[in-house]
Amino acid sequence: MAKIFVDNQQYTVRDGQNLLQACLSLKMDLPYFCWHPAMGAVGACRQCAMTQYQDENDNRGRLIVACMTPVSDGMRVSMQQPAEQEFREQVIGALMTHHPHDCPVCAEGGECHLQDMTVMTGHSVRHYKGKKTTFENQQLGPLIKHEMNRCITCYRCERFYKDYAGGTDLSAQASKNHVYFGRQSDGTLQSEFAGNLVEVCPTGVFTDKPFGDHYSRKWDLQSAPSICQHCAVGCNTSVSERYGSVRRVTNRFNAHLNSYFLCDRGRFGFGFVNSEQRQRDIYLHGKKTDWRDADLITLLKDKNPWLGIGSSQASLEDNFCLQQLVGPENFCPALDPQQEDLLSRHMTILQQWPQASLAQMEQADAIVILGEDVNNSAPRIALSIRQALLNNAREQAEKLRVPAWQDAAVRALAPHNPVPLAYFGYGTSTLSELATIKVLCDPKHAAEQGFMLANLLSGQAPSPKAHKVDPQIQQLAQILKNAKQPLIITGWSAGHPALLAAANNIRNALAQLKPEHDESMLCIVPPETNTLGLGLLAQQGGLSGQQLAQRLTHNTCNLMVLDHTQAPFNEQLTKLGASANHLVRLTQLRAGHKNELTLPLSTFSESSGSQLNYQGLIQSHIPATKPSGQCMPGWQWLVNIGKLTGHALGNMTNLGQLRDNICLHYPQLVAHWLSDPHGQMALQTPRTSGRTAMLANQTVHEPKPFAESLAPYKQSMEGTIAGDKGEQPLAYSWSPGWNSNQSNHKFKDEYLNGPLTAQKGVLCISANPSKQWVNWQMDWSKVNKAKWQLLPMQKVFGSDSLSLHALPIAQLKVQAQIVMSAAQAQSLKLQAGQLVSCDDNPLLFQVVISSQVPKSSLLIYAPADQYFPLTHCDALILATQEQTQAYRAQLANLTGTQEAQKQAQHTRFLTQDQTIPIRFIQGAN
Amino acid sequence: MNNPTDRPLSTHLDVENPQNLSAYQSTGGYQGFSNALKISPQEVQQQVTDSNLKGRGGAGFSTGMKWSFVPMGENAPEHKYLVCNADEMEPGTFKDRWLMEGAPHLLIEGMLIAAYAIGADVAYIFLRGEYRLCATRLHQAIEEAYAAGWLGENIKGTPYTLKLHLHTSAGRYICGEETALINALEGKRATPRAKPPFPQVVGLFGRPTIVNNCETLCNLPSILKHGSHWYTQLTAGTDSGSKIYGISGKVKNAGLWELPMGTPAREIFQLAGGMQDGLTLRGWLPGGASTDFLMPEHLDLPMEYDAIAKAGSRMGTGLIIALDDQHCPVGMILNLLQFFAQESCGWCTPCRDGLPWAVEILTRIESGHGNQDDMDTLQQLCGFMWIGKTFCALAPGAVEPLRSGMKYFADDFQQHIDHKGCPHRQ
Repeated sequence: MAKIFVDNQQYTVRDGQNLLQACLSLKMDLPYFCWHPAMGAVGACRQCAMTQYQDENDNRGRLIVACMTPVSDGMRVSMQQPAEQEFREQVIGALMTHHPHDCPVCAEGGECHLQDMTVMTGHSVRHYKGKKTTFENQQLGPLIKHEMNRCITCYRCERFYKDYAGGTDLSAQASKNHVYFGRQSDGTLQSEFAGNLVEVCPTGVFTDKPFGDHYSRKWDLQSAPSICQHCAVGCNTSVSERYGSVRRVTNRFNAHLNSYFLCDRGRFGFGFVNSEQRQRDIYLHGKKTDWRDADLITLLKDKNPWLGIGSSQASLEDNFCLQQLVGPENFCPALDPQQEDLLSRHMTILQQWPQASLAQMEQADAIVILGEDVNNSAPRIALSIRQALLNNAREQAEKLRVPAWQDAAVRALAPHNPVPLAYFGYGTSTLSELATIKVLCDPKHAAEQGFMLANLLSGQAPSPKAHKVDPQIQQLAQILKNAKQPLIITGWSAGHPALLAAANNIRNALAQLKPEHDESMLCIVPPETNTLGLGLLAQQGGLSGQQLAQRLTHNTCNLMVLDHTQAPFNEQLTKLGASANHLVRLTQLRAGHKNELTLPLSTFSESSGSQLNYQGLIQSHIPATKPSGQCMPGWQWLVNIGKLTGHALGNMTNLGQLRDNICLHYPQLVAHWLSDPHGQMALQTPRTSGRTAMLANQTVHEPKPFAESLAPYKQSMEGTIAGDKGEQPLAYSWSPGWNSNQSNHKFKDEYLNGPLTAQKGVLCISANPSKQWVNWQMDWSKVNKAKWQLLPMQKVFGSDSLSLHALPIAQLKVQAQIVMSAAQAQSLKLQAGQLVSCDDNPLLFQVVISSQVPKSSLLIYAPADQYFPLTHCDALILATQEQTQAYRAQLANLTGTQEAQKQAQHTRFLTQDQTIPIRFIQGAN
Repeated sequence: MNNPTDRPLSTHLDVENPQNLSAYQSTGGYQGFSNALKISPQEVQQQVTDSNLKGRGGAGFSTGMKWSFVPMGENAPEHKYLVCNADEMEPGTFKDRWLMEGAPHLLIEGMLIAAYAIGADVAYIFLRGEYRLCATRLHQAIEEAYAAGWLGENIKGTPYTLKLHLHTSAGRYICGEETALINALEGKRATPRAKPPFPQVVGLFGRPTIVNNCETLCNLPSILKHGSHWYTQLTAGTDSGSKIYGISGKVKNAGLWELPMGTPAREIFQLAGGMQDGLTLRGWLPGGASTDFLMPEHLDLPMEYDAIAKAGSRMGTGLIIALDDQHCPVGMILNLLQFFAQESCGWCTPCRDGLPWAVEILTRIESGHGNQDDMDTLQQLCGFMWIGKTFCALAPGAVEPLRSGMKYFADDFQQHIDHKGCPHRQ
């Protein structure tokens, strides 16, 4: 700690940080632009100027910029003297010489860092009399809108996009007061983290396009703390509503997970909740009906045994209720035997090894990626790994007495101080391109290398009966032995349980190497938001997919299925459902089956729910808006069914009671739900809270504020201020004078102070001290005589089915691909871009040629909403001219349809504005 | 003055017909470097430190001291770099061009000595792109030096190896700033880097790097040939050695002269034959466009770093720009500021947005549309862009002629405002 004097007041601050960060932590209002807590300091904007004095007798001092000045013990500075105040106002005055005063039509208005800083410096009179510089804007795709005239040249966008996230298609161009931030030419931004530009940009140069098409002011939005639904990381988000529709998702700071950044699938994938594809009503045998329908009641009261299929896309509460309702012995967590295998193995490993948080991963000094395409399966993890790659440069900088937050210096040192990254796998990604050791192999070989690596690290690790040790593996073993915090990453995306087993053995071996100071890390990436929640419940036993199918064969069992949107599952369910006596499906999106009872589910934005992320960390989301139509959360439907059938579950009267019940089975969850809001929860900013006259044009009676039905909390009308509620999740980030998301930059310490946050949340699966080796005998015999081994591929925009129902993500959806080596293409006489189909499957794939395809393999990517069994492929058939034409026409048509859908949605939003019935705004009841 | 060792830089300098390698060697060329090879790098550094050679690029920092920060010995990084800053873009400055056109081997020898002293194995000449003739001649000289074994592997049978590359700049004044130069050389945007880390430790491609001005490097051969004591005796003042001085503007005979360091400015004016007939000197910039104006009463000042600094300006490059009474000081300042606004790299706010603002105001004042408020704003802008407020020295340098001009030529500014136009144009 260091004692510093600011304006002659003494403070104690953490040393090692820069003066700006220290002042913000002390809750001082020191304006800044180019600095960002995650991106370090570069000293470009000069906004955070202060005066530093040599000692108490020095009353002149010299001007410094706080972000570039490390705090030191005894340092004396001032923030409120005329010299620095005048300079700070001049900086804003200069920045404003070219800023268009178009705040009224700017989507950033009201939550603009530039507006806040302008007010903060006191700049009010314009002295510049010249003309403003103007720029042409670019079309940057469906996610980001570009308005260069608003630019104040803080360089944050370029630094985030290029340096932090590794994007290559956005840069600073030109010079002097004509610096331009954009692409070489119009086109969709290629980075899957482009959406962060919206929050990184201190003003409205890069804005959220879907939000901006029909923007709302931040203070008019009703926001709720939420959890991302589009991969297993469980990034913390704020979901924001206005007039009954969800308008946007923004980042919600979590020091252990997503910190300040989301991926674009998480930020823009929410659109499915507003989609026309939503199931909004109860349908019985293809007819819309309601809960009082006698046929419906008869069906649900059917005395035949009920079997249930849980869902890794549904909440823990929903899955728990289904498990209770049908009985654990009739509950099936997964249909696919491979998925079952992966899940049980994953759970076993979780019981042995805690999984690293993203913040921990960013500390890694050696990284091994075993057959997992994290860039596409869990993009936010890839972003964190990217930051870890600078650790050796940071260490070197500290040796040179340059603080690690000196971003440019660290990056200058990076080329000579790389962090070793070993990549075993196939395909190309931004991470694999950064690998210092790269082994192109299929998952089996990757796992085999992993087992060998474990064996090299510890003689106790079972050695695979196989091939000679690659010199690269020897080298890697040495690197891992020397590393302080090595990180092993694998996951489900290659679909091979051996990878998990190998990662487990490496982790065990690393622990044995350093029994005293074992800081090694493991991360296994599951596919869905709540895969591990389902895994937790499945530990009670239950039905395998095969057993379920057998039970169903005699048409005497009923089947109840929780929400699934992946095409392969629904394909299987169609077959199974035919042999069920009755089929009840609880779903968010229209499934369109006639012979079933369909119950409409509310989405994450409409109801509370909890999920376990890849670490087994339980997190809950809270709704921002009322469920649409007849929608209800899954647990409520199931409780209601329990009431009908006289099941004990029917006694649950609210969510709090249900959660207490879950805690009886899983006592470790108590701490989490206790910390969850039980009393009052503010979803609107203090500016709007309590504003009840908004619908006075319809009625003079004050509507009740929105409240979730049967929730354990009520909406507060008081509003909350960033940093002042400790443990409670904040619905939005706001503090007086700080309207943008940067308001949380001041409260990082507070966010870490709560007891639960400090211990990184509640991990549901606790690590067991006894560590098991997995003895895996690799089966090298070919499963079938197929010509090629088919290896699955993932895409950020395509492999998650929910987000494909969000318009902007649908517009970016990658169509089905088959990736092959140039040699394969040549032997097949195929060219890149041609269309082919596999055997008798009608799905058309685009041919992509890559050097990163293992021998006699094909990489197959099928979007989540298109079904393709990854079992065999004997022949690739070139599409006929007509097929190709039809394919292209369909794609062209799709663009038109999407544009029309966008327009229709826009019109719908506009009609809802102000005229939406009050019941829609109010909570239920 | 006729003793050749009094003018180590220019005695054999010939712009029409520069010495080739053999001619250069026959007049004592590469002797300095040969001497250096016989002693240790540390001893070379010591000699240069003892000679009290100060950087000729404008800042006047001790060259030996600058080198002393480079990590030496066994634990030093694998590669180190020497860069010759020959991106001479300071308005009114053309001394490096003269040296490179007229004595290319002198620079190469100087670079060999510097590179040897810091243990660099790769050297670059970062040459202003427009200096085509320099490029041709340097290319030729480099080829000759490689062929004769002065460059390349195991130079003259010693273990020392140096590769020398000529890089012609793509432009921009900011490339004269050493860290921006390094960025440009790496193929990045030419914006300055924060210090620390200093380039001596983390420079080009993350390796220890020394960036020395062309003229500084050209001083090294004679120091190594004749010794540092001899070098300290060359001066007429307190700083060591000789210096290339020059003058431009409406003098009779603009040009360059190598003179003892500390020669009074008046002597340089005399060498130029004084002002052209009918013109009187109104003011002068002592060392390029980014220095404060001095007045005729300052002419007896010795042209050396401290003396000029005491008078409120900087010696800079030592190449004087003279302003006569027939030209408008406001117009001259506007012209200079236009250059600097154009050349701002766009990194920090005061420079990027302050300089064009000053240009906007000066343009209005010069064209007769200025008012008293504008003078206040200009004054504020001078403070806004002053030392300590910007990221690098570009804007403070750019402000120097403006702030001193507003002091010395206050009446001219006032006339522009009062008479709504430039008195020199009426």
